[in-house]
Amino acid sequence: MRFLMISLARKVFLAFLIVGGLVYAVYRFLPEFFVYGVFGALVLILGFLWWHFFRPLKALMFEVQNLLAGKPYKKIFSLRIDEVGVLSYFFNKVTASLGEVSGDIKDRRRMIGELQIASQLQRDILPEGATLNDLVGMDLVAKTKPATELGGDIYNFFTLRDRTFIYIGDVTGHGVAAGLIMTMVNSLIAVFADLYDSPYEILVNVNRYIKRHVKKAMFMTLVMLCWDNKTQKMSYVGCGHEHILVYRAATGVCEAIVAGGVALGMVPDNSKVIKELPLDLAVGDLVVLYSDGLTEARNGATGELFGLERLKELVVEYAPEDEPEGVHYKIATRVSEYCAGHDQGDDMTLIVMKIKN
Amino acid sequence: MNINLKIEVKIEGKTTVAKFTGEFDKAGFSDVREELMGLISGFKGARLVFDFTHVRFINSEGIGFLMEAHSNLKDNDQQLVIVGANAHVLDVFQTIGLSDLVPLYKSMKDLTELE
Repeated sequence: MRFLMISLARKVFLAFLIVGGLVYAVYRFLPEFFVYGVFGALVLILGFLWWHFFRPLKALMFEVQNLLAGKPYKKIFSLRIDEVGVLSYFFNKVTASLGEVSGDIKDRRRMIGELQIASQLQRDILPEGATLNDLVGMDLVAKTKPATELGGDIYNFFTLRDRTFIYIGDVTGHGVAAGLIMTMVNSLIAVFADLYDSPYEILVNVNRYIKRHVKKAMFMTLVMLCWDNKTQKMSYVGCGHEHILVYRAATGVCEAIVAGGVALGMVPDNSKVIKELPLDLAVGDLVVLYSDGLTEARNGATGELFGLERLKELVVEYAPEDEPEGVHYKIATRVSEYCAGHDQGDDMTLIVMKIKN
Repeated sequence: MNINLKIEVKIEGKTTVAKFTGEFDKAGFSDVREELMGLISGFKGARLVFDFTHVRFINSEGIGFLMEAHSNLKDNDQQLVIVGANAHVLDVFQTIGLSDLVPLYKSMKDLTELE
């Protein structure tokens, strides 16, 4: 391209040379027309400069001004191989790239907008206020902190036919896919809770549906507690979830009870591998449910996991002196301090409940 | 680039052993994804052994992959076996329920002795 390029300076020089030659020829052979010759030469030079230099530059400047002012601009068509041609080519390339970037930004804004809507919808699914103080039998505080816009953790509690169901679940990973499955499981539980009384039957049916509709690498761990308001007894069904922590007020000991079972979506039929078991609780006992994002939170300095033992120690430290809200707040604060400086790798959910008189 | 998980595939007698070193989480799995997927889809034997002796950590995403591997092998009447899992990894297997589905052995020696 470079060797083909004829610069404007060369063109002007050539033009002057040609016009100067013509003027000289007029002066030499037709001296009586010399004045007309000079005038004609000036017109030719000005016309040349206008056509080759000012006109295309004016058109280029017009489009550049439109671009800078945010107005619509056009592509500049030019077959020239001089500076004007190079500038036109540069302008067209830059504006094409800007168009692509602008499209990307619009797409990104649209996706962020959609994610925010999905995130809000997901928050709306969770129980409002996340406290359960109006229920006879217990005080409860629950909160979740997703690692990204959409979380894979879930918790919920509701009362049906004198039974209160409290559950916490965790879908493999986090993000959009986990968020969609979390929403699906929450809806399925609501549907099957209307049809069946026992947490066992609810979770057997949820699993059957999940296994058919979710890809092999995805599953959800879940533990569901069921409080019978008539008998004031608690039972639970575990589906491969983390331990149930029970702080015994009488002894000051925190027990880690294995939830048991197999995660939802791992086997086509979980009816033989999950079971409803009693959870003996006394007045003043504290029950803590959590997702693995909490115990697998890493220390900002060492990368060490937070771990189950630290969580149990915190429960023992705070349970005797605080109500569920205080215990929840203090544990969440200590976990945040522990992993300060390290990215949150997974969604975190914590439920604290206390058995009342 | 930081490698979180490495895989080394060896054939020991009639057994194919995939030996993992590192952390089996999302970042680790993405380091070995292609090789591992290739290994499973092209596997012709009856039993594939995952040696977890040098796996320090696993999370639910790692378990998700193991479940997928287990299901794919099972569909072809093949079996996945895991050996050498440390206490943390074993605890995760037991919590989620993977230990009910996939045979676990303490070491390769235990596996060969029981054969």
